[in-house]
Amino acid sequence: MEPLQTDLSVFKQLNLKKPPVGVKYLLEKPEGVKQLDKKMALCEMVTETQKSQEPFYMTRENENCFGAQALGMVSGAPSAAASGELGVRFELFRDAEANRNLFKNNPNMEKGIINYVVFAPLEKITFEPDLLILMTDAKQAEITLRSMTYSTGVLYESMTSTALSCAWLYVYPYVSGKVNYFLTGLGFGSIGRKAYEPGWVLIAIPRKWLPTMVQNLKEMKWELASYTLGREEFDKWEKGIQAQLMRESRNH
Amino acid sequence: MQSLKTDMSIYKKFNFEHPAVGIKYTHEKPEGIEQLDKQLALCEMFTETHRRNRPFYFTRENENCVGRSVLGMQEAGSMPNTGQIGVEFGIFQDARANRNIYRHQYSLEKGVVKYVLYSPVDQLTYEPDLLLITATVPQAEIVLRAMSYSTGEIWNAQLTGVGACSWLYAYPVLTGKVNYTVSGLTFGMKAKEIFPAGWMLIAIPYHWIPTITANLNEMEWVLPAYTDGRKKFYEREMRVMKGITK
Repeated sequence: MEPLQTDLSVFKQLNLKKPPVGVKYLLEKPEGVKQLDKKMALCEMVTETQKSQEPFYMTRENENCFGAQALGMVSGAPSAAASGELGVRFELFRDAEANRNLFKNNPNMEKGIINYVVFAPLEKITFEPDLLILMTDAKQAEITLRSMTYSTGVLYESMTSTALSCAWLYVYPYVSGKVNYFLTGLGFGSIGRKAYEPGWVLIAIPRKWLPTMVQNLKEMKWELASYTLGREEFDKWEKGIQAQLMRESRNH
Repeated sequence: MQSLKTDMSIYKKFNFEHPAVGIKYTHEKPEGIEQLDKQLALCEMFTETHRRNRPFYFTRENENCVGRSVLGMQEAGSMPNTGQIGVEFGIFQDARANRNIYRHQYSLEKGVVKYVLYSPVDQLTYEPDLLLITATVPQAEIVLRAMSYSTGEIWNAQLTGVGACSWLYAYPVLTGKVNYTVSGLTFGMKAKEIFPAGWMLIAIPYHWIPTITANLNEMEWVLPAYTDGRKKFYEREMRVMKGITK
């Protein structure tokens, strides 16, 4: 495992209620990290890391939902799920066709590439994470997402689905290279399993974005002046800045 | 203006803290509806509907932010496009980053919309172009599930840190896609104190209103799996899986 080189300490300043979680996908068994000693769904592994406060790794034997399939650790979905019948029995979808449509859109890792997944809380990340997963409130999410757009102007794009939200949290950012986010309390399995309290913003940052966001978090103002002015004062201030810019542009 | 034919009464069942708002874009002056008597930003119009709790319409003279250009009521002008404003506000590192967002954002065709009508859903008299819902997460889960219930559609939210109005008011009607965001993520709405943080704002374009409304009438809102508790949910899942693979 490539040792950690990126300084992730700036994420501590967000004072998240629960620590960010670093995730690493490996073909080979990691050394010096314990294996998870129980079975659970992939969506629960972030909260497990936050609870245990210790790094661990999981294999396909530790996963008892569809996460192992999303990670390409096992062959495609069982026929019960792939047929679309499962979602109908769960009353999630009106018919199997609607459920099957989900599988057309959901991202999956290439099969056989990942045998081990390492999870570690921020303080104990010793590897360059493939993903950093943050659980934030809306205010902390605003700062985090702004750090992506601060130097780039990219848009905030959130992708998820009724079921299999694990694919959008763990797979989509990794394969697309895009930051993804969504709210806890929207996805079927994680609601059923009580994996998270509803209303938190889960943000998955792929490795590609970490240097930019870390640098921007260090550079940009977190609490913008305009956020503390109040509505009326902000209106005046905004108009003043626009008028000033108009004057300056005329002078050029 | 086409009068309301869709039965929207199902939305009452949510008991939203803030009523869902139906929005109509029109070229002709609406009759029997009063004009807004002040200036506001476009992002404030739906909270104004909550406050008034009665229908109103606005014209470009009533809008005092970038909403007018988003709705094609006037040219954007070069100032925002320079990207300098975002730098002055501290939102962007440089103008280049700010300019980049304009490549993504949506605006209605210029000159098509002159009047925009707002109405709480229970006072709607017209078929809305857009239904804007302010929901808690459990309520949003039901609304979004109603979109996928018969279609399997994924949930895709598009947004930029500034100009959120473009994503709520223009993008859904231009693309025909449901869009949603969380209040507190975007600059203008935060600075103007439009809404407390943490609410889900869901914009449903007319393309999706019949499907979502019909599915809300048909589907179970609170699934048994959500009230089982963790252990019983696992048992249910096993039972269901075994039942299908028999």
